[in-house]
Amino acid sequence: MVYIEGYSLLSAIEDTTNAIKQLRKNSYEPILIDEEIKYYKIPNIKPLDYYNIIEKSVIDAINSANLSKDEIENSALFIGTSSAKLPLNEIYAKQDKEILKDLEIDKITKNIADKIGIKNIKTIISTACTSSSNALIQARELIKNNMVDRVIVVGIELYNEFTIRGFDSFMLLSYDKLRPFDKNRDGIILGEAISTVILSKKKSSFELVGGAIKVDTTSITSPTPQNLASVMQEAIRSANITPKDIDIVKTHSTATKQNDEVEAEALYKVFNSQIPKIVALKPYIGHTLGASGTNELVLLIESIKNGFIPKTINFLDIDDKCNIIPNIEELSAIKGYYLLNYFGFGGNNSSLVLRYGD
Amino acid sequence: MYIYSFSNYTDIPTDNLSDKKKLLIKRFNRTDNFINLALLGAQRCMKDIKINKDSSIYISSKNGNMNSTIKVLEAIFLENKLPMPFNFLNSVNASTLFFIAQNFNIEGKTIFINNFESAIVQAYIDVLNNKTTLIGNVDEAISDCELRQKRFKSKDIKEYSRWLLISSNSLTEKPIAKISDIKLTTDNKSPNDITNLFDFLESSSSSFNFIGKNLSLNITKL
Repeated sequence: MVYIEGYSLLSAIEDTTNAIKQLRKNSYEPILIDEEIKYYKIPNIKPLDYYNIIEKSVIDAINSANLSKDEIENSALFIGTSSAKLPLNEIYAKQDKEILKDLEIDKITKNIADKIGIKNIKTIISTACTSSSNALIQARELIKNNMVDRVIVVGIELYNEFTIRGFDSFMLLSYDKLRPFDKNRDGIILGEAISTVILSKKKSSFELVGGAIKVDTTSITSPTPQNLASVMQEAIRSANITPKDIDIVKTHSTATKQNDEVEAEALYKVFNSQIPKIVALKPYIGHTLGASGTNELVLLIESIKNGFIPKTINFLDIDDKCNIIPNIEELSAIKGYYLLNYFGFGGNNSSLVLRYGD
Repeated sequence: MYIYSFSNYTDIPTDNLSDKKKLLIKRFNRTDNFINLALLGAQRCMKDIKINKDSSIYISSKNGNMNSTIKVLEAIFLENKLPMPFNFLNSVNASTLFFIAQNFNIEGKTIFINNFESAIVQAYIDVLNNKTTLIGNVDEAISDCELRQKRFKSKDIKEYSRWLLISSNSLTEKPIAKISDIKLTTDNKSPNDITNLFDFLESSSSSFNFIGKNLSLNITKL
């Protein structure tokens, strides 16, 4: 059995504790980064703080789990990120017009492991939007199979124009609001955030009971309902439960026309007409891509700990094609099973099952 | 855990990068040098072997897809324009996994990772769960020679695409080697390079103890 022993989050809605206050507001507005493009930015950080921000996130999570020096030393380190060191390389590109100056991606794990004192295996997983959800699933497997006692999983996605312009080139960005499943949704608003989740066999109220990763080779950019349904079903099976046992689904819902439609169809395939309550968290922190796995897990856990499930903001009108109404009012947290979906470019899709209880 | 097949493609480009697409058995539209390099190694490893749809794929790479990343960075920061959508898409590591999975009709787990040792450990767990696993170690050279020399400060720049097909004892083909005594270790100051592992597979030696930075294992040829 693999539990969540500690965690931390730094996002557009500030740190773990302050995020709860923001989650209880009725709206959250991202900032404008040029004439049209909006972005969810972490307040008061500088691009050159890159390693310090990662270090702080890991230390905050270690402190929340109260780990000893030995426990830290024997932990494995898994990082999930899609942009990796692009934020740093962009600074050099802007300043010196030098492209790809800082090559070695291993520096991220080395830097953090050396500073914190982690001496077990270190890994960076990069599978687009599923990077840190996949890191959580792979870390769980490592613990379950007794390869390590504990894994420190970090999701990193910091501001970089590479991703913003890349998504813009596919015309996937919204210039208005991030509105999951809404009839008038018109795309993604990206965001930056970093979070750390510590997994171990030490019992806690939050257990990672299942997870699955599957590739969909139908289209490199668009998921299919069959594959999304199949990854959810496999994750549910791996938790030794049935779809009827799922109480709440945290959807991936990027708010693009096509992706939300496909996720909705997949939900109906898995749950038939008995769709559990739906919560979408991206309207609070943006689509944080490779870090969304740990970010949205931490947001959900911290909300549950505080006794509630956040409402899904920005939803106004039902889209008949999706036929999904997310929870538009705050709900009381319940003991039970939570399914968390993460889908990405390259057909890389994953789902996690979280159990909250005694 | 058994090795059923391996490939060890290495190239030392002197001027231009070689055209790997010409060497591929199955070709795909809009793929770039890195993706073709990965496909080339994987196709050579798989030959005619058929594996289950639920098999896993791991690609480890130090630097990932550098040439498409450079094209996107140049478009944004030197030319002040939007990148070409397919350069952006190819630069995403999951795209390479997509093409490898499509090539071999795989629908299981696909992971892009920064080191081969960790890929072996994760693949080992998949094999314990009765999955066949294809693991690659792929790195490309930068096509811009001047930039290449400047960044790597080395004369010999290698491109490689090395692959292992591993499984429990469940494939119809005969395994070529057995991997045993897989253990994670704390940081080892003088680790073997993964090149040694592939050199051993190509050699006439019968047994090899791999001691990496955080992983040790034994390989015995069958």
